Parts: sequence; structure tokens; C-alpha cells
Amino acid sequence: MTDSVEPSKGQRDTLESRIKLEKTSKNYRMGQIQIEALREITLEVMAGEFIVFLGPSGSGKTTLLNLIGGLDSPSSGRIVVNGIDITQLTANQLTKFRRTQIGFIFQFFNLIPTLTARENVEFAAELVAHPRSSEEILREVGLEERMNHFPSELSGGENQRVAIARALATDPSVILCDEPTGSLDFETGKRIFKLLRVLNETKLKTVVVVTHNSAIGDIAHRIVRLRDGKVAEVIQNTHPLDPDELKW
Amino acid sequence: MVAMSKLHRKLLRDVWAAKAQFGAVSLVVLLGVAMFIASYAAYENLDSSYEGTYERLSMADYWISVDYIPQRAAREMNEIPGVVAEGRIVGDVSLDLAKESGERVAGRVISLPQQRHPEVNDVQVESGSYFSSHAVREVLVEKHLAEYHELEPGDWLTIKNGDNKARFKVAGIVTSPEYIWVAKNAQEPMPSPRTFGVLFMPQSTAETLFSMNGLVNEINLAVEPNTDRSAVLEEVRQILRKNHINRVTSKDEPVSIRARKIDVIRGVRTAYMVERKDHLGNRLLKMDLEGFQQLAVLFPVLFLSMASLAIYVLLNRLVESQRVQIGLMRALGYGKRQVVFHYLGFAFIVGAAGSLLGAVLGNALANALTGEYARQLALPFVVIEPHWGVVAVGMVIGIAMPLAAGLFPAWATTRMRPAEAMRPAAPAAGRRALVETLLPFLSRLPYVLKLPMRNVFRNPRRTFFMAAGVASAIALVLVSMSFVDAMESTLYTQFERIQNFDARVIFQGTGATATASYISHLEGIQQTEAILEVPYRVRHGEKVSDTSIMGLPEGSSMYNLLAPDGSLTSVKQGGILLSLSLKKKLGAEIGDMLQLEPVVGTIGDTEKRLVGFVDVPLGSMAFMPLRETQRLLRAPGTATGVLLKFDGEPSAKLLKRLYDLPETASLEFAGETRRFLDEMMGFFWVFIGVMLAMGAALGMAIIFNSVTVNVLERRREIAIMRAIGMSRNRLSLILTLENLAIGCLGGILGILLGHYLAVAYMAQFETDIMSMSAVIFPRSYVIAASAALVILLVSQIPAIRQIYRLSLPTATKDWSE
Repeated sequence: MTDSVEPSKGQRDTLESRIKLEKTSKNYRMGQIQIEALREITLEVMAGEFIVFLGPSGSGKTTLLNLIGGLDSPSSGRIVVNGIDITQLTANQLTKFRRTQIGFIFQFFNLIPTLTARENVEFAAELVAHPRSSEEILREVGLEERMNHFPSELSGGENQRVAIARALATDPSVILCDEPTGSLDFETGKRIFKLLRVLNETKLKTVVVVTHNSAIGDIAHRIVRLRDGKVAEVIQNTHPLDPDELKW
Repeated sequence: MVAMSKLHRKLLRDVWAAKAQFGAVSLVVLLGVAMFIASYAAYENLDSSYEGTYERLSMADYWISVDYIPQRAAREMNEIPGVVAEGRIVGDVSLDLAKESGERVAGRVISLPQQRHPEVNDVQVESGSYFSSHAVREVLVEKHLAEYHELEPGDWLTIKNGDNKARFKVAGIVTSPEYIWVAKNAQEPMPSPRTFGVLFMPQSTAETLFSMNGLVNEINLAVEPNTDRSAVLEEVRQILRKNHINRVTSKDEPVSIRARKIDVIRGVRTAYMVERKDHLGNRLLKMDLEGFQQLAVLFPVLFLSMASLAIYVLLNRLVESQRVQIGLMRALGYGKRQVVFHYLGFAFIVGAAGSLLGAVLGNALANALTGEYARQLALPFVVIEPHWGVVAVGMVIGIAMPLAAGLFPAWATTRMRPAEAMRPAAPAAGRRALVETLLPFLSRLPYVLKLPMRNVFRNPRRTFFMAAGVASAIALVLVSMSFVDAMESTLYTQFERIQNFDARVIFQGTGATATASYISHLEGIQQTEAILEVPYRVRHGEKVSDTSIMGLPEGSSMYNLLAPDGSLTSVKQGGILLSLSLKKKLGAEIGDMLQLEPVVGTIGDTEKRLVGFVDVPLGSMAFMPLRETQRLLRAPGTATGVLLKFDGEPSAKLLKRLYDLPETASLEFAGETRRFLDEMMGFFWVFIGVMLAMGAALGMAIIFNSVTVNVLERRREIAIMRAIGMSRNRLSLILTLENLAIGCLGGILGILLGHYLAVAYMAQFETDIMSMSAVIFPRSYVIAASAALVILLVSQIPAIRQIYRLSLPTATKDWSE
């Protein structure tokens, strides 16, 4: 068995479909409680789509994101990303999959406090054979002046932009964002979404955002509402707003 | 230049961020490695120094002692291919050092060729010169004797042999490969230079002094390498036979007393042959060195084990606190192996930095230690060279042990699932401590006591590791202290409990018990007792030991015999008492019959019942009633010495009268011997002192780390307590109480561990000179425990200061820290 995570002939579904979940469930224990985080979710995310998963806390949205990103494996069901059935991958293959296919953005940025902005981006870039230039990405996210600062010397918005830059370093086709503006103020949050929109439109990245903030759904192509681990509603947004027009 | 990967950069920066903790552990590794390299390289240096001295001064391979043999026998042996032989006269005399006190020293005179240096067992002239070609009244004085009595070339001394008495000029001060360790005989392996010394005189002078014209009583052989030794020895035996010496005995081929008696009847003369490995001076040196080698391994192993424990604790904490970062690394696509290696990198840095600096320090210390030891023993040639093998072993161990210790925490990262790792860990289930269930009133304690109590029990692993850190520091200090205590206790038992005399008159050969009563009537003498000490071979079944029997007056009050339980005992009619070390060697039990035969001569073989054991810390011997010993030797009224108790300070006149007794070879003062032993142990004290200092440094490093880690691990929790309004002082008090509670637990463990280690080590520490039993004085427990307490209180200061500086919004919110 090879470590390759490129879509093989057999694995290849349709290139239109970027992410596909089939009857995906996830149960886990937290302390002494058994939690059914996701119950038989079936859905598809298309290439170049900007999709927002909405739901209150405990609805399973972060779990869903973790499963798509290969950070966690489902208890049952199938997940196909970029034509790869990631439920069939070994731990090593999953590592390689995350390295090449996925970019993560977290609520608390999760930057390495002992590395500078540029180094945090390079930290991810070093993992792939042909990474993008860290400086170029940082310039794209508007941090050319702050490259050599440590996370503690940057504002929350700047930290999140470093995190976005880091997510882009390996040039992934899918960007997964977990409450990316959860710890930012309104204006900074809008700027982050603007950046994500640009990436979605110009670089054709598939952007998946999970949030409890329903206002954010207005900028997405599609909104999926989750409740108690199930899809409660799917809304097709034919006229997504510009992030500048967002209000919450 | 190769760019440093970001993972490596993170590693370096993380180390730098916790530089105090990593520095402390590196320091422990440094100390362990330095100690190992210093002591082991010093051991190697000393071994090479001895061997080098033996080689440069052509130390003999064999010593053949006879009553007398013509010089030409030595010349004939010299003709054997591959053999260099020298004949010489060796005799014991009394030296009068021309001091006002009339002080006398038992001397051993060894003859040397006058015109040239001997080809075997040469001497190194340290000052002055070798014999001048014509002067016969010249001697060379061995360095230990010369230094003690401040003899210099040009001084005069008087040698007395029976009625022969002559004055000699000191031509030079020399060192001899045979007397690097000055041993008088197996019974007196460590005489003070005040009472015993060695000097060399021209062959012709010795012949006159001992009335042995044209004769020698010892032949020394040096055999070239690759020579067939058994063939050489056969030729030597032939030459001896030609000179009417038909029997050759050695340590491995003892002649039974029966055979000796038959030899006497038949007129068979015997030669006694000693191989270099059995040569007393060489054997004692090597034994001393082996003791040193044991210490060279024991302490570093203790240190590095503790360093490993500290690394383990530190990395566990690091991995735990970097859960989110680990989750992130895995999420970004770093492989498990990369993450494991990343965390092992911390252990590697600690090990490598400690080992590297330890190697540098160790080398410097090795040179200092070798120099100090060589100075103590007055070694003529000192080899100080780098021992790269030892350095390499030290460094490999210094790196490998932390790596091994880091493996477990590093491996733990592989079990972390990225998604879980990035989620804040579920708070541990809060519960009452077991003691609270057992002792319900504890639940009603104020929070300032209840919190520390619950914290101690909440995370048993953390509690255990901190307790283990404290325990190991205490154990180390305790083991070092136990050496001091055991030595002090040994000297105390010997000089305060057993010996109840101020001085001992040592006779030249044997004297009369009547001399004791004569001395007792001298002014300034309170009490005297005659003793008779004879070298004997004791046999119990298959087991044999050469020792000496001391004949003591029944009910002696000047030489107390202590039973193993510490109570007083006495020699018993018809029976023999053995020292505990002889008990061990012979495996004998009370009631067993022992065969006794004198080591020399044909008179005095008998069988005795073993009636008891005595504790003799210095030397090993057997005890019998004086009269019975005299009867055994068919020499009633003889003695080999007199024990004395002075009435106050002895006057110069009294001492002169004692020295002037015709039988006196020398006077040994108990206080003097004790001081000399202390001095001889000087190096040992230096070593233990260094260990103790390092032990304290180690304790500090370990406790500092455990306490800091304990506080840092709970930054957030502490920040929350601060946030809800707990004052810094109260928080500091809670932490201090908690640390003290864990410290007490560690203290108990440490005392048990230290005690066990000390006992285990002392059990092995038994030489022909000294048998030490494991003794730890209560003061040592107190010192070790209070040192640990002080260190603990001081070590928590940086951690508490951190709490003071903690940014509450950051610490309560930022999970990525």
C-alpha cells in the first residue's frame, strides 16, 4: 500500500464534488458522558463553494469540521475529500492528506508562540515539496510589515491573518475554518471574511466555515444548519453578501 | 549555510523559554557526567601512573625471600635468558632520628648496589643524590619517612640493630615502586610514618650491619615479557636447590606446619616467593584504587538516574502543556515520528549540553584529582592524560539516559488525536481525597488547608514525581553523609571504644612482659598492659586466612573487645575470638573448631574452639588470652608490645626513657595514628566533600524543577483563583503548604532510599585495612531533611514570582499556551 493520497482511478468520484459525506456518524465520550456528536450526516460540498455550517454549541459543527479535515475519524459512514475516501486511510496517509489537501483556521489561532509570524507560516510550508512563498502569502494577507513579530506582539486580527497565511502555505484546495472570527471584534472579523472570500473567488479555494453566528451565513453560497448532530436545514444563498455588508 | 527547520527553531526557542528548568536538568547531567569522567579518568590516570612507575623503576615480578643465600645465586639467576635479578639484604632495625625526645622509628633497611642503581626495584632520587662511590656511611631515605620527620640530604640518623649501632648521613630522599603505599606487613598495612619508614643503604654496609658478608636474604626478579615464566621459575628453583634451599612456598602453595617440622628435622631450608600481584604494597594500592573505582561509578549512576527522572517530569509537563501545539502539528500534517523526535530533541539538547560541559569540567577535575591523589601518595611519576574512551562513555551515557527518560513522554504524543489535543482537556473529575473519606473532619478544614490537601491527592502522578525529586536529592545527600558517618563511627569505635590506651611501645621482635610492669612504675605512667601479636594462619575446613592473633591479658581494660551487639566481651580460656571480617572469610560459627598454625616457624600449631566474635573496624584479627598465646608459642613471659596510659601529658623525659628501653623499636601514639588515618583519608574526604556539594546542587536543581513544574502546570487554575479574588499571599501560602506536604512525603521516601543505598554500598566496602558498617547518624537525617526543606522553600520563589506576574486575561483565556 502506498502513502499516496492523490485520487486514484477507483477512488475518483467526480471532480465537481470536493467533499462528500455519506451517512457519517460520530460518537465519543467526554469524561463520563457518551455524546452522539453527529448522526448519519449526508451532504456534498462542491469545488469552489463557500459554505457555512451554522449551529448552537453542541450541534456537532466542530466535529464535522474535524472529520472533514481528517483530524478525527467517524464512528460510521464514509467521507470523500478531493476524491479520496479518507475513512480508508491509515494514520500516516491521513497525516499526508492533511499536509497536502487541507488548510486549517482555528478560533484561537493556535500559533506557536515561540515562532515569528513568518516562521509560523514556514512551519507549515516546510512540510510540502513545493510550498508557496511565506512572504508572498503574508503580503497577501496584509502582514508584510509584521512578518518578524511574535504572536504576542500582534493583535488578534493579525494573529488570525497569520493563521490564514499558514493555512495557505501548502496551497490546499480546501480551507476549514472553525469559528475564525470567534475571538475577534466585528470590524476585524469582517476583514478576515473578506480575505476568505478573496481566496474563494480568486484562488478557487473551497471554504468551509463553522460558526454559531447566523449573520455570517449571509456571505456563503450555501448555509447548512445543524442541530443535535443532524442537518436541520440547507439554504441555497443565490445572492451572497459582500463581507463589507455584514452586520451582527 | 543550511537553514534551520522551523521545528528545530521551535525546539530551541521552547528550550530558551524554559531555560531555568532545562538549565537545571542540564546541570544535573553535567554534574553526573563530570563526576564520572573526573573519577574514572583519574582512576585510569592513577593506574597508568602506578604501572608507569613500576615500569620506569623496573619493579620486580618476583620477590624470593630466604634466610640467607650467597650473592652469586642472584648473579646466576641473572644469567637466565629474559631475567634480570638483583640480590639484596632486607632487615628491620630501629632508627634514632637524633631528636631531643629520643624519638625512635621502626625502620626497614634495604640494601642497594653502591656504584650503580639496581636493575630491579630501582629508586627515584627526589632530592640529594644516590650513594657516592666510596662513602659507606650513607643512606637514602624513603620520601614518606623523610617528609614526616623533615629529614633532608646532609642530615644524620642512627640505625640500631640489636647491639650494633651506627650513624649515617642522609645522601638523598627517594621514592620506591615497592613503597608507594608504605605497608610494614600484613598486620600493619598502614603504619604512620612516625612509627615506621624505609631506608636504603649500600650493599657492603648492610652486610656489615646484619653480619651477612657476601650474602643476601632476598632476590628480586624482573622477567621480560614473552618469556616462559614456568621455565624461568624452574631454573630459579634449580639454582635455589644448588644453594640448599629445597622448598619454595608462596601464597598459593603454603607449606603445612607438619611439612615444616619435617623440613627442620631434615635440615631443609625454605624460600618464600611473592608475585607482583600479591606484593603487599601493590595489592593495597590496587585495592584502594578499586574502592575509588566503585565510587567513580556509584555516584554518577545516582546522579544520572536522578537527571533522568527530572527530564521525565519536565518533558511530561511540556508535552501536557503543549497539547494544543501537538494537535496543531498533527493537524498541519507533521507525522507522528516527527513529533516524537521533536520532543526527544528536548531530552537530547539537555543531555548533549550537560554532557559536553560535563566532559570539559570532568577532564579538568580528573587532572586535579589525579594530582591531589599523586601528591598524597608521593608518586614519583604521574601520568595525566586525556582518556577519550572515558569521555566518550561519559557523554554517551549523559545523552542516552535523558533520551531514554524522554522516550515515554515523547511517545505519549503519538497517542494524542489531533482534534482532541486541540480541544481543552476535560477537567479532571474533582473528588474528595481518600483521606477525607476516611477522616471526615478533614472536609471541614479551612480552604487554605483543604486545597493543598486535595491537590496532593488529585494528581497522584504529579505528586509522586515531585516527591521522587525531593526523595532523590535527600537520598544523595544522605549517601554522601553516610560515608562521613561510617568513617567517623569506625574511627570512634576503634579509638574511643576499643583502644583505651594513649600509646603503644612496639618492641623490635619480641620482648618481655616484665617490661610492662617496669614501665608501669615510671613516673607519669598510669597503667600498662603487655600484648603479644603473632602472624597466624587460621583454617576452617577448606577456608584459610592469614591473619594475626593478639594475646590480651584476661579482663584487659586497655583493649576493649566489643561483641557484635556493641557490648563488652573478653578473651576466654581455651577458646579464640574472631573479628567479624574473619568470620565472613572463614564462614565459621561459634562452637566450630579452627586449625591454627603460625605463618613462620614450626612451633605453635593447635586447634581452638571458636567462642565468639568481635567487632574490629580496623584490620582483621583473632584474640586469645595472653598466657595461652605465650604457651602456644612455648615462650612464656614474651610480648611484642606494651599498651600505655599516661598520667596527663607525657613529659619529654618519660618519652626518652621509653625510647631508650633496649626492646623499643618505636612508640605509636593513638591520637597520632588517628590523625594519620584522617590524613590518609584526606583524599577520600575531598571526594566525599565534592560529592556532598554536588549532591546539594543536584538537590537544588531537582527540587527547583519539581516545584516550578508543579506551579507552571497549573498556571491557568492559579490564574482563575486569582481572577475570582484570591490574594497572592494566600495563593502563595496554599502552594507552599502543598509543596511542603509533598516535600514531607519525599523526605520520608528519600530517607528510606538513602538508608537502603548506604547500607547496600557499605556492605561491599570491606578491605583488609578497614571494614565499615553502614552507620547514619541522626544528625545526617536532620541535615539532609533540613537542607531539602530550605532548598524547597527557596526553589519555589521563582515559581511564586511567576504567579505574581501572571497576566490574568491571557492565562484564563489563551489555551494555546
